[in-house]
Amino acid sequence: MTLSLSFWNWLLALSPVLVVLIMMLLFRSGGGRAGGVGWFTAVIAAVLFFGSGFELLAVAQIKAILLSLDVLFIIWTALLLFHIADEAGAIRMIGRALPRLTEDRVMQSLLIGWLMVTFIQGTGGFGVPVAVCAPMLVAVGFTPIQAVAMASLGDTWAVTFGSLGTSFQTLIAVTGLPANELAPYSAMLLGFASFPSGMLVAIIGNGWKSFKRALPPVLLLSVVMGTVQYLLATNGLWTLGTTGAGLVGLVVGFLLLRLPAFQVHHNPLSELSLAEDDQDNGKSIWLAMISYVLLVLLAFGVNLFSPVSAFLGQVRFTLNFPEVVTRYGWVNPAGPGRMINIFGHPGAILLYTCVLSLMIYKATGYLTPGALKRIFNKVTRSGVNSSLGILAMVGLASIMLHSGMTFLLAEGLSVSIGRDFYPLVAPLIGAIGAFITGSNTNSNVLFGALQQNSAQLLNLAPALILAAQTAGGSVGSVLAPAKVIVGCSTVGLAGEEGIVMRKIIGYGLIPIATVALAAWIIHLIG
Amino acid sequence: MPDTEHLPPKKRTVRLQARALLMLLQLTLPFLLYLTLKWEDPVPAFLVAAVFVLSMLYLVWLG
Repeated sequence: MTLSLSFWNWLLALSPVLVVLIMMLLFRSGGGRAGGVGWFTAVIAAVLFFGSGFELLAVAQIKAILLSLDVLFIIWTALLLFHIADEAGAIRMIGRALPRLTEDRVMQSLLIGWLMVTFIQGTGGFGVPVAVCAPMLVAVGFTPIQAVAMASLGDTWAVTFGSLGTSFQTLIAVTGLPANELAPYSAMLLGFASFPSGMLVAIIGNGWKSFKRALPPVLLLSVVMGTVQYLLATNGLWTLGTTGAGLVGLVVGFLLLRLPAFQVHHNPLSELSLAEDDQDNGKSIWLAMISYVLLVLLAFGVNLFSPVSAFLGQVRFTLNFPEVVTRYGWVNPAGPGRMINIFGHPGAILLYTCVLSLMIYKATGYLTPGALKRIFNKVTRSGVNSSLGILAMVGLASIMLHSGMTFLLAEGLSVSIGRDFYPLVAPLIGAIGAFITGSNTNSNVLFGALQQNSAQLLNLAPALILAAQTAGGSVGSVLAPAKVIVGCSTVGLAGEEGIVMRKIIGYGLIPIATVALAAWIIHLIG
Repeated sequence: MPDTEHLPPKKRTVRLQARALLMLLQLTLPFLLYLTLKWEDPVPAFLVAAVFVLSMLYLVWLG
């Protein structure tokens, strides 16, 4: 039992989330400050109104650190890999190679604003795809506002299984549901979102007149990428869901350029020397991309060969916790916290890739003097800022969960919305959480348990509702002011984010509506 | 974009170092709290919790 359901009590339970919302939207605070104030609100509400004692709060916070470590391990190593590849010239060389292959503006916009964005989201994430691809789009002739809007909307479908599956990993950690239950619905809903995502990239770049021209390639590519992501995610390779989809999408995209309809230039990939820039003079694009090849090989190797995964999975870390109960009788049973598989963790696989990549780039001279220091500085700067926000948000969510606030919120939602329409609303909740916090991961932390409780109370399939949550979060995160600011800063639009926001929010409702409709139809079909 | 972007480089470095230290503190204190919770004397646990609360206050101040 927790507090009885009333509007006042429901508002009290919502207060930490409301505070985070107000801090971020009205006061434009970063995730760290907003999360910190939200954390204090959660502690005060838990103690004064939900009957939480010292031991309960302590247990909630210690469990939150285990959850945070699980996510931070991926975030830091994913950032490290991206910056190593970037220093080696991989991203610059890809950016120069793509426009040489076709003069077709629709295909150029799709290749950079959708396929390339998807591929980079696979390992980069955290606003990096937009920051990297928006300048590439400007370089091929799109306006800066178009460029940020295209890259942002092209990313909407790719976030959950991107960044080596950080957001998906968080959803598993927060809800306790296994990956094999969550992956099918999540991949399916995101697959549906990929179609409007691609169409919007083409339309923003080339106007509504390009609709007919964009339709066949977008339809084909969204089916291909959605299927690849589905197959990877449902076969235990969800860490590579977006990377694999992006890679295959790029390959199919390049193959499409061979069709006369897309005005192929006679520049076979093998002839690309990409030596215009002194910095990358004499480099091979294939060797520059070796880090991503290694990542795919290692991730596949570890996940597909059970002796390897069994060997790496021998060292696991967790802590055991006692039962803690609120004054109102809300029970958190005794048991272990989040188990961290130290050497078989997706973060560990990323780390092995980083070490091997560094050795190869060093041996081949692809890293210039001072590269290690630059990589360290960039990774630290992004990693520390993201980590502080995540630590505060996960702490807040854990306290809400342990004091019964999340359950009360879910109970209120399920009573007011009702069973039949909840699958339509679930993606919107995920999107709002991500829009507020700028992160699909944080949205899953904030609302994962809430959506799970709502699904259980309404007798809905929790895996479907949680998939709708994370798919909505995927779309909402790229529309968030925090990420738009990152994109704008790379194309000289700093201070003009409002114009871009106005452009993308209306369009962004289309993929959210697609996810909601798909979730609702799946629910009705049963 | 981090909200330290508008600061001069030296201040930005100092602020980043402060954030990094704060992050390390917030990552390690809960483990210390876990250990002290197992002790009979509750005072050490209260002290660790108090330092954690202060670190959260510092995070709010730092932004």
